[in-house]
Amino acid sequence: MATDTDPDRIERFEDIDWQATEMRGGLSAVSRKAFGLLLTLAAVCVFFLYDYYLVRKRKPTVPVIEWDVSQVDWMFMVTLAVIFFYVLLPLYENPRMTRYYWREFRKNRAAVFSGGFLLFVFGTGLVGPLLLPKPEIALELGYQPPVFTSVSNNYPIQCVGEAANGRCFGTFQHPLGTTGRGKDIFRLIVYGMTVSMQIGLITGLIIITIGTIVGAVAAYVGGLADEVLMRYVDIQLTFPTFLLYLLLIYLFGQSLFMFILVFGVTSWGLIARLVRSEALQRTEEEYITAAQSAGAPNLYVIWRHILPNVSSTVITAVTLLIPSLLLYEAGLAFLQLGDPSIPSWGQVISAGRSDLSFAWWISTVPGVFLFFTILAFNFIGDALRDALDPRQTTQE
Amino acid sequence: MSRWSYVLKRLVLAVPVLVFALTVTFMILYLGPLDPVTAVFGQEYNPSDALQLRKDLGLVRADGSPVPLWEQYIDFMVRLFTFNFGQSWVVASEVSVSTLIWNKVLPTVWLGFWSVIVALVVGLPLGFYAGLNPNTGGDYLASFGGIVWRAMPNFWLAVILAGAISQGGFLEGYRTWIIETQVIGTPRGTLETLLMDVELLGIAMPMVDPTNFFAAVKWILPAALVLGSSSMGNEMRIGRTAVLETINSNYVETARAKGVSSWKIVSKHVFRNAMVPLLPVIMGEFYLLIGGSVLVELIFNINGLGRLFISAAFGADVTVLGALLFIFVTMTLVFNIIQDILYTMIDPRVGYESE
Repeated sequence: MATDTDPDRIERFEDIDWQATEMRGGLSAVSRKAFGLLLTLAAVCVFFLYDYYLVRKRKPTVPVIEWDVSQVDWMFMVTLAVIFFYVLLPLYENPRMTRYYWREFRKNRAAVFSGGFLLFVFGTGLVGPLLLPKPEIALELGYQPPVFTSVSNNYPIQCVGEAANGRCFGTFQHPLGTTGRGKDIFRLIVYGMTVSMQIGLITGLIIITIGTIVGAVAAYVGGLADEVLMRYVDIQLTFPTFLLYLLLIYLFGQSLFMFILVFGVTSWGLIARLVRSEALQRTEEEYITAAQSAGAPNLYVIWRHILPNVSSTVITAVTLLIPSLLLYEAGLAFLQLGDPSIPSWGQVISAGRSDLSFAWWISTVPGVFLFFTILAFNFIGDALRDALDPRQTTQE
Repeated sequence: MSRWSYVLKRLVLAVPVLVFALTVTFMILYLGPLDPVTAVFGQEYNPSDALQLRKDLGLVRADGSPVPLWEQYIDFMVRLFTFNFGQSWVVASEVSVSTLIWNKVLPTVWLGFWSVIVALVVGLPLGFYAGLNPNTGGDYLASFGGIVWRAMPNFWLAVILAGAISQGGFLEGYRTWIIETQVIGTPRGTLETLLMDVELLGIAMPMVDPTNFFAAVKWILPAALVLGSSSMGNEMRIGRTAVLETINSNYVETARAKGVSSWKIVSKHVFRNAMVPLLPVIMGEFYLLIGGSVLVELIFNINGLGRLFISAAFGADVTVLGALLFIFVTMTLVFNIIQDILYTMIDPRVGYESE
């Protein structure tokens, strides 16, 4: 060949036109998801603009079902869209992997139960508020006991169920009883499920996004960027978020939106550290060097090679982080620092605190649900860790 | 790098973090919505009182002109770093912050100490037992208990326990068990009388007063149990895993083959290696104490730092908040350093060079 004699010719890898690769990727299966997500987000945006400019304040956005979309609802829509396009769709498109995950997951019976419970909480939290009316204050119906139990007749003003021998018996009208101010606990629990799911999923998504980006950038770019980002993480981990939250609610009032925002934006420190150390290990591997030698842009390497490899670590860590966020929210609600307009489990526990000696169910029932939700998240997180990190296995 | 220069390096590196965290605190406290004047005098105040207060707080000069923000900032930092915390205005009017904190530090430390002890004494042996006897009935019981404790919402447990003890619940007998003690609230003088002077060979020696000591422990135990509950579960779980991991390793098998007694194997080989993953969990408890003490102190009505923090935050007491945050952040940084040093002591493979 003539080129063999060309002295300027240097041995080199095959040229790849990265722009063309990305363009092609834009139409391939990977980015069909991105396209679908963008389309959905655009629809949410249009809906939001409609609500913002055309619907008057305090008027329901969708009058038919009296739904005034709140800030948290907007975020929840976006979160659900992301979950649909980046969790459910890939699982559907790749049935072989889905079956494999399911086989692995099924081995851990506790995790399967937990998954079922969380799905139940998620589904009920999503659909329940549409079917059940909001729990209302009804003072004359206070202190109704749960079904099959009874309370001394001195406490309820009016007994809905049957009253005999000086005791008031519970009915199926209020299967889990009522609070001191007559709110039905069953409905409070269902509405509380929505709150818990919103906290878990939205905050989880925020944490995953920021933590992964920061960690991956710190590990891959290195140098000054790494130093600055990790020192910032140090500061964030030492600074009490509680104070920040307190001051922001002084400024803007108490709302679930504020909680999600504050704790989402300040809780990603540990995830970022984890991603960084994981990504540092990955960066050493040959396929990264190969990609770099072929001239792949940094963003491409991070997106295609590093992120998929750290995703399992991140998901495990976030699953174990969500319960602490739920606990935090319940704790703040307990201190009357939560959103007063939203029935969260912590608020109900707090409401029943002084009546514990006779109306045990007010604090206990939401506490049990909170407990099982946290337990389920812990079980799933542990199962994920066992599945993904063989060094940590508990079975010998 | 030697151990001491490592410690020195870590200390020096902690200073910028502390300065930055305090800067954020300053911005929140002084640029935020907190107004000390309305916090002290309410909405309708006498202008001359307000001016005097602003002067005392260093917001306004003697001639009535406002102090520029950067001067306030420098003043704030210098005061904190020289431990000159100033006066409280809202929580306890015109009491120095140092006295205020000093009066409340004892119950919190006592609570923290016992919650760490309870978690360690219950969690570690259970975890080790479960790890040494895997897949037996005892193991399943301990593991299950650990998982349940870990998921127990702290404040809910506190509410139930406090209710069960004080409101005529099933644990009501706890109050009068052996000696009558108050369980909810801070009994006056319990902690101050822990020590008594005993004449020993003609010399006055401070000794622990057994009755008062028992009363003080009994008073704090329910709260400590709640505060330590999640770490107890964690320690149990991780202790079990760590023991399982080391007990199946080659060096343990070698030792067993050489005929080393099983007690020696456990104490020399298993225990030390199992401590490596346990250390962050045990140290993590200290962070938990800083944050978690707020709720537990509120529910059990313990007059400690957590409650002081809450009342200062609700009352917009800028000086108390600044001092408390300074203490919290400093403690967190110190614990971080101690943890890393302990790491290098327990696990010689961890070098001083990496981070």
